[in-house]
Amino acid sequence: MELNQDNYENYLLLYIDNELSASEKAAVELLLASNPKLAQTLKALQAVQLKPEFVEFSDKSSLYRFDEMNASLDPAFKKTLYKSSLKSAKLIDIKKIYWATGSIAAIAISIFFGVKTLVNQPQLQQPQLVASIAPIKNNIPNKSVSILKPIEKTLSTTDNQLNNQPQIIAQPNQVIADATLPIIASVTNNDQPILSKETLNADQTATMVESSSITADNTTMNSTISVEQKIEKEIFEEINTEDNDRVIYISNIELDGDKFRGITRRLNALFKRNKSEKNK
Amino acid sequence: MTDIAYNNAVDQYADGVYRFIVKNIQHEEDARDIVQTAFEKLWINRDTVDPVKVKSYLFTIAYHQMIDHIRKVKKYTVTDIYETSSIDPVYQPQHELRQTILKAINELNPTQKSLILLKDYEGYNYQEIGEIMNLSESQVKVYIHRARLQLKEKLSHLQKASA
Repeated sequence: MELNQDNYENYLLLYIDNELSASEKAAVELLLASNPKLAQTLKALQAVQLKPEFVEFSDKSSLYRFDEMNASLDPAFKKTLYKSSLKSAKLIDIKKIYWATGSIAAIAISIFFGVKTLVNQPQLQQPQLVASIAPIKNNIPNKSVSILKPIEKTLSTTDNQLNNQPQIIAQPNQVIADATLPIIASVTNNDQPILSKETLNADQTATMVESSSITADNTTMNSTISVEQKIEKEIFEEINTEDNDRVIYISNIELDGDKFRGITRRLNALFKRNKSEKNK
Repeated sequence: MTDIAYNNAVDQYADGVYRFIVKNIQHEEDARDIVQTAFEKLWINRDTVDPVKVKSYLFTIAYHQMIDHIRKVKKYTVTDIYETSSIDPVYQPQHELRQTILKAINELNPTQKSLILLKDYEGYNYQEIGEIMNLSESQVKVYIHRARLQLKEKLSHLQKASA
């Protein structure tokens, strides 16, 4: 592009903005020297140029960054801050074990004291006992029937004695009747030999039970027995005597069926003893 | 970019960036905020910013921050902030020529004003200004020339009026 009268203004603007090459700059300066009108125009353009002035940013300290601002922890110290999820998991496990053992111990103690109080106040504690064993019934509902089977077998061995109890057997439509059979049978089976050896009075009470059931004259006696039999029936239903499955679950707690059965047997014996004393 | 290089950039360019912004928006506090933001961004991106282009990086960030600021201010003000200054052509004494030029510059549109400020104060060439303001080199050239001729006309008018 050649400098001429038409485009000189453009060249002057580029000249004051320092955007021309060295040769172009020289050409403009040569033209300016020979043309005062152009020089005047250049002066007018330079007049509207801003002259550099110093303006200070007064808050520079706020912009500085120092090493202290980038403070980083020593890696060795950092390691002490690390947390392992495995450690906390172990702690939780231990806590769980403590809780489990604690709860089992609490249940065991409560059962122990429950038994103790039952011994002292058997008549009052009977309904409570039934209530406390009720959850077990829920856990093993299907096996309650099988409980009676072995006892029924023992019953069959004592046909002679059962023949002496026509009233109870002669009630097939009553479910309780099935349950009463082994109980009375057990009374006659288990207690008779023992009682005959121990005391005569006890023997007499046993015979009293038999005679009362045969004659059926004393209806009040029969009703009390049937109530007790109902309670005892429920107790018996909770116990699993199957060899393969003698584990009893109370919520999440596993109990040994054999030991539990031992406790219930003792309870049963105590009831009978109390009953006999009462009858006496 | 090291911490030392960053702090050197503060020393070298903070005043220039501040001057560029404060001359544009005529508000010291807002200008300081914009400078703060520009250097904050430089610090955050210090590892990726080319050490040679730190100055233009700062001006670019500051310029775009300023544009955002102007848009926000315009939303909340009825009158244009640049219309607050008015030139009285009759009673302007000669020694106030510089102030008159500044006032005339303030009456330019924000783009022309930034172009003049970057050119005259910072000495950037057209290409660098184009990079900062996101314009082509030819656009920068045309806009600057237009602004200069506009200022020249205004000034000659004032000088004639005062004569």
